[in-house]
Amino acid sequence: MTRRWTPSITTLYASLAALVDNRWVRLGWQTLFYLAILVGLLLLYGKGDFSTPGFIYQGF
Amino acid sequence: MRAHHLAPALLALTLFSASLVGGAAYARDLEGRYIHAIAPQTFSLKNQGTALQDEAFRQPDLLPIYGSSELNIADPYHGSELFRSYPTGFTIFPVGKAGTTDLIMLQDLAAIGSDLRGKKVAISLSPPWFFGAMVGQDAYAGNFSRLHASELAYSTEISFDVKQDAARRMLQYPKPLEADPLLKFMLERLADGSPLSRVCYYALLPLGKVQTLVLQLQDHWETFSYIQDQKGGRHPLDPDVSHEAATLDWSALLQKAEREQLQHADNNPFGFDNQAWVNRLRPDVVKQKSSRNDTQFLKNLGQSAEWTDLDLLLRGLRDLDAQPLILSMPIQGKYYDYTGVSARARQAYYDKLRQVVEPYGVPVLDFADHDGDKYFLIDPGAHVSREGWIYYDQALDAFYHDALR
Repeated sequence: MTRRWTPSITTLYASLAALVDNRWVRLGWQTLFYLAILVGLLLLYGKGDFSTPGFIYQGF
Repeated sequence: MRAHHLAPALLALTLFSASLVGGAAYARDLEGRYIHAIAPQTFSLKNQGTALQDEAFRQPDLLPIYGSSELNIADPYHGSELFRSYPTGFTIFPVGKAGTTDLIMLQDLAAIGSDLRGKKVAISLSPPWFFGAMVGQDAYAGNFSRLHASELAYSTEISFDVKQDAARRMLQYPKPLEADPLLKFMLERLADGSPLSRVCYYALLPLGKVQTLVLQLQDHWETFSYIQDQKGGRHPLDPDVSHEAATLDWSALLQKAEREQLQHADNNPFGFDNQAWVNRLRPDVVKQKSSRNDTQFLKNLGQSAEWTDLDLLLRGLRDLDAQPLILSMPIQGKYYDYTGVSARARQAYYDKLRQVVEPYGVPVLDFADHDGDKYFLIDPGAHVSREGWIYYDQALDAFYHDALR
Protein backbone atom coordinates (compact mmCIF):
# COMPACT_ATOMS: atom_id res chain seq x y z
CA MET A 1 0.00 0.00 0.00
CA THR A 2 2.74 2.41 1.03
CA ARG A 3 4.76 1.52 -2.02
CA ARG A 4 1.87 2.29 -4.32
CA TRP A 5 1.36 5.77 -2.79
CA THR A 6 5.01 6.85 -2.70
CA PRO A 7 5.39 7.45 -6.45
CA SER A 8 2.13 9.40 -6.54
CA ILE A 9 3.19 11.72 -3.72
CA THR A 10 6.60 12.20 -5.27
CA THR A 11 5.00 13.04 -8.60
CA LEU A 12 2.57 15.43 -6.94
CA TYR A 13 5.39 17.14 -5.06
CA ALA A 14 7.41 17.46 -8.26
CA SER A 15 4.40 18.89 -10.09
CA LEU A 16 3.79 21.41 -7.31
CA ALA A 17 7.45 22.37 -7.24
CA ALA A 18 7.36 22.92 -10.99
CA LEU A 19 4.22 24.96 -10.60
CA VAL A 20 5.78 27.13 -7.89
CA ASP A 21 8.82 27.63 -10.07
CA ASN A 22 6.61 28.88 -12.91
CA ARG A 23 6.99 32.67 -12.91
CA TRP A 24 3.34 33.36 -13.85
CA VAL A 25 1.99 31.13 -11.11
CA ARG A 26 4.38 32.71 -8.63
CA LEU A 27 3.24 36.16 -9.75
CA GLY A 28 -0.37 35.04 -9.22
CA TRP A 29 -0.01 33.70 -5.70
CA GLN A 30 2.25 36.51 -4.59
CA THR A 31 -0.27 39.05 -5.91
CA LEU A 32 -3.01 37.23 -4.02
CA PHE A 33 -0.82 37.28 -0.91
CA TYR A 34 -0.36 41.06 -1.09
CA LEU A 35 -4.01 41.58 -1.94
CA ALA A 36 -4.96 39.57 1.14
CA ILE A 37 -2.75 41.84 3.27
CA LEU A 38 -4.38 44.97 1.79
CA VAL A 39 -7.88 43.57 2.25
CA GLY A 40 -6.96 42.60 5.83
CA LEU A 41 -5.79 46.16 6.51
CA LEU A 42 -9.00 47.48 4.97
CA LEU A 43 -11.12 45.26 7.20
CA LEU A 44 -9.10 46.20 10.27
CA TYR A 45 -8.85 49.95 9.73
CA GLY A 46 -11.25 50.75 6.89
CA LYS A 47 -14.35 51.43 8.92
CA GLY A 48 -14.73 55.11 9.63
CA ASP A 49 -16.03 56.55 12.85
CA PHE A 50 -18.37 59.44 12.16
CA SER A 51 -20.05 59.33 15.55
CA THR A 52 -19.94 62.29 17.89
CA PRO A 53 -20.08 62.43 21.69
CA GLY A 54 -23.50 63.27 23.08
CA PHE A 55 -24.04 66.60 24.84
CA ILE A 56 -26.80 68.85 26.07
CA TYR A 57 -26.61 72.23 24.39
CA GLN A 58 -26.40 74.98 27.00
CA GLY A 59 -25.88 77.96 24.74
CA PHE A 60 -29.12 79.80 25.47
CA MET B 1 14.46 38.25 -4.47
CA ARG B 2 13.32 41.81 -3.81
CA ALA B 3 12.57 42.31 -7.50
CA HIS B 4 10.45 39.11 -7.39
CA HIS B 5 8.16 40.74 -4.83
CA LEU B 6 7.97 44.19 -6.38
CA ALA B 7 5.85 43.22 -9.38
CA PRO B 8 3.15 41.31 -7.44
CA ALA B 9 3.09 43.99 -4.74
CA LEU B 10 2.55 46.71 -7.35
CA LEU B 11 -0.02 44.59 -9.16
CA ALA B 12 -1.90 43.98 -5.90
CA LEU B 13 -1.80 47.67 -5.08
CA THR B 14 -3.11 48.56 -8.54
CA LEU B 15 -5.96 46.04 -8.32
CA PHE B 16 -6.78 47.20 -4.81
CA SER B 17 -6.78 50.89 -5.80
CA ALA B 18 -8.92 50.15 -8.87
CA SER B 19 -11.43 48.33 -6.63
CA LEU B 20 -11.57 51.31 -4.27
CA VAL B 21 -12.05 53.77 -7.14
CA GLY B 22 -14.77 51.53 -8.61
CA GLY B 23 -16.44 51.15 -5.22
CA ALA B 24 -16.38 54.91 -4.61
CA ALA B 25 -17.85 55.54 -8.08
CA TYR B 26 -20.65 53.06 -7.37
CA ALA B 27 -21.30 54.69 -3.97
CA ARG B 28 -21.46 58.13 -5.61
CA ASP B 29 -23.93 56.84 -8.17
CA LEU B 30 -26.09 55.44 -5.36
CA GLU B 31 -25.85 58.73 -3.43
CA GLY B 32 -27.01 60.59 -6.56
CA ARG B 33 -30.01 58.28 -6.96
CA TYR B 34 -31.16 58.62 -3.35
CA ILE B 35 -30.19 62.22 -2.53
CA HIS B 36 -33.72 63.61 -3.04
CA ALA B 37 -35.21 60.94 -0.78
CA ILE B 38 -32.59 61.73 1.85
CA ALA B 39 -32.93 65.54 1.57
CA PRO B 40 -35.59 66.02 4.29
CA GLN B 41 -34.01 63.54 6.71
CA THR B 42 -31.86 64.53 9.66
CA PHE B 43 -29.26 62.04 10.84
CA SER B 44 -25.70 62.15 12.09
CA LEU B 45 -23.85 61.02 8.95
CA LYS B 46 -25.57 63.72 6.88
CA ASN B 47 -23.93 66.30 9.16
CA GLN B 48 -20.62 64.56 9.85
CA GLY B 49 -19.83 63.26 6.37
CA THR B 50 -19.27 65.05 3.09
CA ALA B 51 -20.57 62.61 0.47
CA LEU B 52 -24.25 63.60 0.85
CA GLN B 53 -23.62 67.32 1.29
CA ASP B 54 -21.40 67.32 -1.79
CA GLU B 55 -24.07 65.47 -3.79
CA ALA B 56 -26.73 67.96 -2.65
CA PHE B 57 -24.69 70.83 -4.08
CA ARG B 58 -24.54 69.02 -7.43
CA GLN B 59 -28.35 68.87 -7.66
CA PRO B 60 -29.96 71.97 -9.21
CA ASP B 61 -33.25 71.44 -7.34
CA LEU B 62 -31.77 71.21 -3.83
CA LEU B 63 -30.94 74.26 -1.72
CA PRO B 64 -28.61 73.35 1.15
CA ILE B 65 -29.27 75.22 4.38
CA TYR B 66 -26.81 75.07 7.26
CA GLY B 67 -28.10 75.82 10.72
CA SER B 68 -28.53 74.27 14.14
CA SER B 69 -31.32 72.75 16.21
CA GLU B 70 -34.07 74.81 14.55
CA LEU B 71 -33.60 72.56 11.52
CA ASN B 72 -34.24 69.40 13.55
CA ILE B 73 -37.53 70.36 15.21
CA ALA B 74 -40.57 68.95 13.45
CA ASP B 75 -43.00 71.59 12.26
CA PRO B 76 -45.76 71.46 9.65
CA TYR B 77 -44.26 74.54 7.98
CA HIS B 78 -40.61 73.46 8.20
CA GLY B 79 -38.99 74.05 4.79
CA SER B 80 -38.60 70.30 4.31
CA GLU B 81 -42.38 69.93 4.71
CA LEU B 82 -43.54 72.97 2.77
CA PHE B 83 -41.21 72.27 -0.17
CA ARG B 84 -41.49 68.46 0.11
CA SER B 85 -43.11 68.09 -3.34
CA TYR B 86 -40.96 70.79 -4.98
CA PRO B 87 -43.94 73.17 -5.51
CA THR B 88 -41.74 75.97 -6.88
CA GLY B 89 -39.05 73.70 -8.32
CA PHE B 90 -36.81 72.97 -5.33
CA THR B 91 -36.63 71.75 -1.77
CA ILE B 92 -34.20 72.46 1.02
CA PHE B 93 -31.39 70.19 2.18
CA PRO B 94 -30.94 70.93 5.90
CA VAL B 95 -27.57 70.27 7.55
CA GLY B 96 -26.82 70.78 11.24
CA LYS B 97 -27.99 70.13 14.76
CA ALA B 98 -27.74 71.86 18.15
CA GLY B 99 -24.35 73.55 18.48
CA THR B 100 -23.59 73.68 14.74
CA THR B 101 -22.14 77.17 14.89
CA ASP B 102 -20.15 79.24 12.40
CA LEU B 103 -16.79 77.53 12.96
CA ILE B 104 -18.35 74.11 12.39
CA MET B 105 -20.16 75.37 9.28
CA LEU B 106 -16.89 76.72 7.92
CA GLN B 107 -15.37 73.24 8.22
CA ASP B 108 -18.48 71.62 6.68
CA LEU B 109 -18.37 73.93 3.68
CA ALA B 110 -14.59 73.81 3.28
CA ALA B 111 -15.04 70.08 2.79
CA ILE B 112 -17.25 70.74 -0.25
CA GLY B 113 -14.36 72.63 -1.82
CA SER B 114 -14.56 73.54 -5.50
CA ASP B 115 -18.05 72.01 -5.86
CA LEU B 116 -19.28 75.11 -4.01
CA ARG B 117 -18.21 77.44 -6.81
CA GLY B 118 -21.18 79.56 -7.90
CA LYS B 119 -23.60 77.54 -5.74
CA LYS B 120 -26.25 79.00 -3.45
CA VAL B 121 -26.16 78.12 0.23
CA ALA B 122 -28.32 79.45 3.07
CA ILE B 123 -26.86 79.93 6.54
CA SER B 124 -29.19 80.16 9.54
CA LEU B 125 -27.77 81.95 12.58
CA SER B 126 -29.04 81.79 16.15
CA PRO B 127 -28.61 85.12 18.00
CA PRO B 128 -27.84 83.47 21.39
CA TRP B 129 -24.52 82.18 19.95
CA PHE B 130 -23.37 85.80 20.02
CA PHE B 131 -24.43 86.49 23.61
CA GLY B 132 -21.64 84.45 25.27
CA ALA B 133 -17.83 84.21 25.06
CA MET B 134 -17.82 81.21 22.72
CA VAL B 135 -19.72 78.00 22.14
CA GLY B 136 -18.93 75.36 24.80
CA GLN B 137 -16.30 72.63 24.41
CA ASP B 138 -18.91 69.85 24.56
CA ALA B 139 -21.12 71.38 21.89
CA TYR B 140 -18.12 71.86 19.57
CA ALA B 141 -16.88 68.30 20.17
CA GLY B 142 -20.42 67.01 19.58
CA ASN B 143 -20.41 68.58 16.12
CA PHE B 144 -16.77 68.11 15.19
CA SER B 145 -16.01 66.06 12.09
CA ARG B 146 -12.45 64.87 11.61
CA LEU B 147 -13.10 64.70 7.87
CA HIS B 148 -14.34 68.29 7.66
CA ALA B 149 -11.57 69.64 9.88
CA SER B 150 -8.98 67.84 7.73
CA GLU B 151 -10.52 69.18 4.52
CA LEU B 152 -10.20 72.71 5.90
CA ALA B 153 -6.68 72.28 7.27
CA TYR B 154 -5.38 70.70 4.04
CA SER B 155 -7.47 72.76 1.62
CA THR B 156 -5.63 74.21 -1.35
CA GLU B 157 -8.68 76.30 -2.32
CA ILE B 158 -8.93 78.33 0.87
CA SER B 159 -6.31 80.99 1.44
CA PHE B 160 -3.52 80.48 3.95
CA ASP B 161 -4.74 83.47 6.00
CA VAL B 162 -8.23 82.01 6.45
CA LYS B 163 -6.79 78.59 7.32
CA GLN B 164 -4.41 80.20 9.80
CA ASP B 165 -7.15 82.17 11.59
CA ALA B 166 -9.45 79.13 11.55
CA ALA B 167 -6.65 76.95 12.98
CA ARG B 168 -6.16 79.40 15.85
CA ARG B 169 -9.85 79.10 16.72
CA MET B 170 -9.94 75.32 16.25
CA LEU B 171 -7.01 74.89 18.62
CA GLN B 172 -9.11 76.52 21.35
CA TYR B 173 -11.13 73.29 21.25
CA PRO B 174 -8.35 70.75 21.90
CA LYS B 175 -10.32 67.63 22.83
CA PRO B 176 -11.50 66.43 19.41
CA LEU B 177 -7.95 66.85 18.06
CA GLU B 178 -6.53 64.29 20.49
CA ALA B 179 -7.65 61.50 18.15
CA ASP B 180 -5.66 62.90 15.22
CA PRO B 181 -2.08 63.91 16.05
CA LEU B 182 -1.28 64.80 12.43
CA LEU B 183 -4.24 67.18 12.18
CA LYS B 184 -3.34 68.77 15.52
CA PHE B 185 0.28 69.18 14.44
CA MET B 186 -0.75 70.74 11.12
CA LEU B 187 -3.19 73.15 12.80
CA GLU B 188 -0.41 74.18 15.16
CA ARG B 189 1.90 74.80 12.20
CA LEU B 190 -0.82 76.86 10.48
CA ALA B 191 -1.53 78.84 13.64
CA ASP B 192 2.14 79.51 14.28
CA GLY B 193 2.81 80.75 10.77
CA SER B 194 6.60 81.11 11.19
CA PRO B 195 8.75 80.28 8.13
CA LEU B 196 9.78 76.94 9.70
CA SER B 197 6.17 76.07 10.49
CA ARG B 198 5.18 76.89 6.92
CA VAL B 199 7.91 74.59 5.58
CA CYS B 200 6.70 71.80 7.89
CA TYR B 201 3.08 72.41 6.85
CA TYR B 202 3.77 72.23 3.12
CA ALA B 203 6.15 69.27 3.54
CA LEU B 204 3.47 67.25 5.34
CA LEU B 205 0.55 68.49 3.24
CA PRO B 206 0.65 65.43 0.89
CA LEU B 207 0.41 63.13 3.93
CA GLY B 208 -2.59 65.12 5.15
CA LYS B 209 -4.19 64.82 1.70
CA VAL B 210 -3.71 61.04 1.73
CA GLN B 211 -5.25 60.80 5.21
CA THR B 212 -8.20 62.91 4.01
CA LEU B 213 -8.63 60.60 1.02
CA VAL B 214 -8.92 57.63 3.41
CA LEU B 215 -11.56 59.52 5.43
CA GLN B 216 -13.46 60.35 2.21
CA LEU B 217 -13.52 56.66 1.24
CA GLN B 218 -14.75 55.75 4.72
CA ASP B 219 -17.47 58.39 4.33
CA HIS B 220 -18.61 56.84 1.03
CA TRP B 221 -18.65 53.39 2.65
CA GLU B 222 -20.70 54.62 5.61
CA THR B 223 -23.11 56.41 3.27
CA PHE B 224 -23.43 53.29 1.10
CA SER B 225 -24.19 51.24 4.23
CA TYR B 226 -26.76 53.79 5.41
CA ILE B 227 -28.60 53.76 2.09
CA GLN B 228 -28.57 49.95 1.98
CA ASP B 229 -29.99 49.82 5.52
CA GLN B 230 -32.68 52.33 4.64
CA LYS B 231 -33.61 50.48 1.45
CA GLY B 232 -34.31 47.39 3.49
CA GLY B 233 -35.88 49.16 6.45
CA ARG B 234 -39.46 49.26 7.67
CA HIS B 235 -40.10 52.37 5.56
CA PRO B 236 -37.92 51.67 2.52
CA LEU B 237 -36.22 54.68 0.98
CA ASP B 238 -37.86 55.45 -2.36
CA PRO B 239 -35.61 57.24 -4.86
CA ASP B 240 -38.62 58.43 -6.88
CA VAL B 241 -39.61 61.66 -5.14
CA SER B 242 -42.70 63.31 -6.57
CA HIS B 243 -42.44 66.78 -8.02
CA GLU B 244 -45.74 68.66 -8.12
CA ALA B 245 -45.69 72.27 -9.25
CA ALA B 246 -47.96 74.57 -7.23
CA THR B 247 -48.33 78.24 -6.45
CA LEU B 248 -47.65 79.17 -2.86
CA ASP B 249 -49.95 81.87 -1.52
CA TRP B 250 -47.60 83.31 1.07
CA SER B 251 -50.08 85.67 2.73
CA ALA B 252 -52.67 82.88 3.13
CA LEU B 253 -49.99 80.52 4.47
CA LEU B 254 -48.82 83.18 6.92
CA GLN B 255 -52.33 83.81 8.21
CA LYS B 256 -52.93 80.08 8.67
CA ALA B 257 -49.58 79.55 10.43
CA GLU B 258 -50.14 82.56 12.72
CA ARG B 259 -53.59 81.32 13.64
CA GLU B 260 -52.24 77.87 14.49
CA GLN B 261 -49.29 79.28 16.40
CA LEU B 262 -51.57 81.40 18.56
CA GLN B 263 -53.52 78.28 19.53
CA HIS B 264 -50.28 76.53 20.53
CA ALA B 265 -48.86 79.43 22.53
CA ASP B 266 -51.64 80.75 24.75
CA ASN B 267 -50.71 79.53 28.22
CA ASN B 268 -47.88 82.00 28.93
CA PRO B 269 -47.21 85.72 28.46
CA PHE B 270 -44.18 85.22 26.16
CA GLY B 271 -45.74 83.38 23.26
CA PHE B 272 -43.66 80.27 23.93
CA ASP B 273 -44.94 76.90 22.83
CA ASN B 274 -47.49 75.63 25.37
CA GLN B 275 -45.92 72.20 25.80
CA ALA B 276 -42.38 73.58 26.12
CA TRP B 277 -43.65 76.07 28.70
CA VAL B 278 -45.28 73.40 30.83
CA ASN B 279 -42.63 70.71 30.43
CA ARG B 280 -39.39 72.64 30.81
CA LEU B 281 -39.44 76.43 30.51
CA ARG B 282 -41.68 77.78 33.28
CA PRO B 283 -39.47 77.17 36.37
CA ASP B 284 -36.32 78.57 34.71
CA VAL B 285 -37.96 81.55 33.04
CA VAL B 286 -39.69 82.69 36.24
CA LYS B 287 -36.28 82.83 37.97
CA GLN B 288 -34.79 84.95 35.19
CA LYS B 289 -36.85 88.11 35.77
CA SER B 290 -34.45 91.11 35.70
CA SER B 291 -31.48 88.73 35.92
CA ARG B 292 -29.55 90.54 33.16
CA ASN B 293 -28.82 94.12 32.20
CA ASP B 294 -27.86 96.05 29.09
CA THR B 295 -24.27 96.69 30.17
CA GLN B 296 -23.44 93.03 30.63
CA PHE B 297 -25.37 92.06 27.49
CA LEU B 298 -23.47 94.58 25.36
CA LYS B 299 -20.14 93.57 26.87
CA ASN B 300 -20.77 89.89 26.11
CA LEU B 301 -22.03 90.74 22.63
CA GLY B 302 -18.90 92.76 21.88
CA GLN B 303 -16.53 90.07 23.11
CA SER B 304 -18.16 86.99 21.59
CA ALA B 305 -15.77 84.86 19.52
CA GLU B 306 -18.75 83.97 17.33
CA TRP B 307 -18.23 87.23 15.39
CA THR B 308 -14.70 86.08 14.52
CA ASP B 309 -16.13 82.75 13.40
CA LEU B 310 -18.87 84.36 11.32
CA ASP B 311 -16.24 86.53 9.64
CA LEU B 312 -14.12 83.42 9.01
CA LEU B 313 -17.11 81.64 7.50
CA LEU B 314 -17.74 84.55 5.14
CA ARG B 315 -14.07 84.71 4.17
CA GLY B 316 -14.04 80.97 3.50
CA LEU B 317 -17.20 81.20 1.39
CA ARG B 318 -15.65 84.07 -0.58
CA ASP B 319 -12.53 81.98 -1.24
CA LEU B 320 -14.72 79.13 -2.44
CA ASP B 321 -16.76 81.51 -4.63
CA ALA B 322 -20.09 80.45 -3.10
CA GLN B 323 -23.31 82.49 -3.11
CA PRO B 324 -24.48 82.55 0.49
CA LEU B 325 -27.58 83.99 2.13
CA ILE B 326 -27.33 84.83 5.82
CA LEU B 327 -30.54 84.34 7.75
CA SER B 328 -30.73 85.27 11.40
CA MET B 329 -33.69 84.52 13.60
CA PRO B 330 -34.86 87.55 15.56
CA ILE B 331 -34.24 87.83 19.30
CA GLN B 332 -37.25 86.89 21.44
CA GLY B 333 -37.81 90.50 22.55
CA LYS B 334 -40.62 89.85 24.99
CA TYR B 335 -38.46 87.41 26.96
CA TYR B 336 -35.33 89.59 26.85
CA ASP B 337 -37.38 92.60 28.07
CA TYR B 338 -38.43 90.42 31.01
CA THR B 339 -34.83 89.43 31.81
CA GLY B 340 -33.70 93.07 31.73
CA VAL B 341 -32.22 93.51 28.24
CA SER B 342 -33.77 96.48 26.43
CA ALA B 343 -34.73 96.76 22.78
CA ARG B 344 -31.96 99.34 22.33
CA ALA B 345 -29.32 96.90 23.57
CA ARG B 346 -30.75 94.16 21.38
CA GLN B 347 -30.51 96.47 18.37
CA ALA B 348 -26.73 96.30 18.80
CA TYR B 349 -26.89 92.64 17.69
CA TYR B 350 -28.71 93.47 14.46
CA ASP B 351 -26.38 96.41 13.79
CA LYS B 352 -23.24 94.36 14.35
CA LEU B 353 -24.56 91.52 12.19
CA ARG B 354 -25.01 93.88 9.27
CA GLN B 355 -21.65 95.49 9.97
CA VAL B 356 -19.91 92.08 9.75
CA VAL B 357 -21.83 90.66 6.76
CA GLU B 358 -22.37 93.62 4.45
CA PRO B 359 -18.69 94.19 3.47
CA TYR B 360 -18.82 90.78 1.76
CA GLY B 361 -21.77 91.81 -0.41
CA VAL B 362 -23.76 88.90 0.99
CA PRO B 363 -27.52 89.33 1.48
CA VAL B 364 -28.54 89.23 5.14
CA LEU B 365 -32.05 88.87 6.55
CA ASP B 366 -32.15 89.46 10.30
CA PHE B 367 -35.94 89.77 10.85
CA ALA B 368 -35.21 92.63 13.27
CA ASP B 369 -38.75 93.89 12.71
CA HIS B 370 -39.93 90.68 14.43
CA ASP B 371 -37.89 91.30 17.58
CA GLY B 372 -41.10 92.16 19.40
CA ASP B 373 -43.12 89.43 17.68
CA LYS B 374 -44.14 86.90 20.36
CA TYR B 375 -44.86 84.21 17.81
CA PHE B 376 -41.77 84.00 15.58
CA LEU B 377 -39.94 81.66 18.00
CA ILE B 378 -41.24 78.90 20.23
CA ASP B 379 -38.84 79.37 23.17
CA PRO B 380 -36.12 81.69 24.55
CA GLY B 381 -33.49 79.99 22.43
CA ALA B 382 -33.63 80.03 18.70
CA HIS B 383 -36.29 77.64 17.48
CA VAL B 384 -38.56 78.84 14.75
CA SER B 385 -42.34 78.61 15.16
CA ARG B 386 -44.94 77.84 12.50
CA GLU B 387 -45.11 81.56 11.71
CA GLY B 388 -41.32 81.90 11.76
CA TRP B 389 -40.94 79.03 9.31
CA ILE B 390 -43.24 80.78 6.81
CA TYR B 391 -40.94 83.81 6.88
CA TYR B 392 -37.91 81.55 6.50
CA ASP B 393 -39.55 79.57 3.68
CA GLN B 394 -40.52 82.71 1.80
CA ALA B 395 -36.96 84.03 2.08
CA LEU B 396 -35.49 80.70 0.91
CA ASP B 397 -37.92 80.56 -2.02
CA ALA B 398 -36.99 84.10 -3.06
CA PHE B 399 -33.28 83.33 -2.66
CA TYR B 400 -33.53 80.19 -4.79
CA HIS B 401 -35.40 82.09 -7.52
CA ASP B 402 -33.10 85.16 -7.41
CA ALA B 403 -36.03 87.24 -6.18
CA LEU B 404 -34.69 88.52 -2.85
CA ARG B 405 -35.66 92.11 -2.23
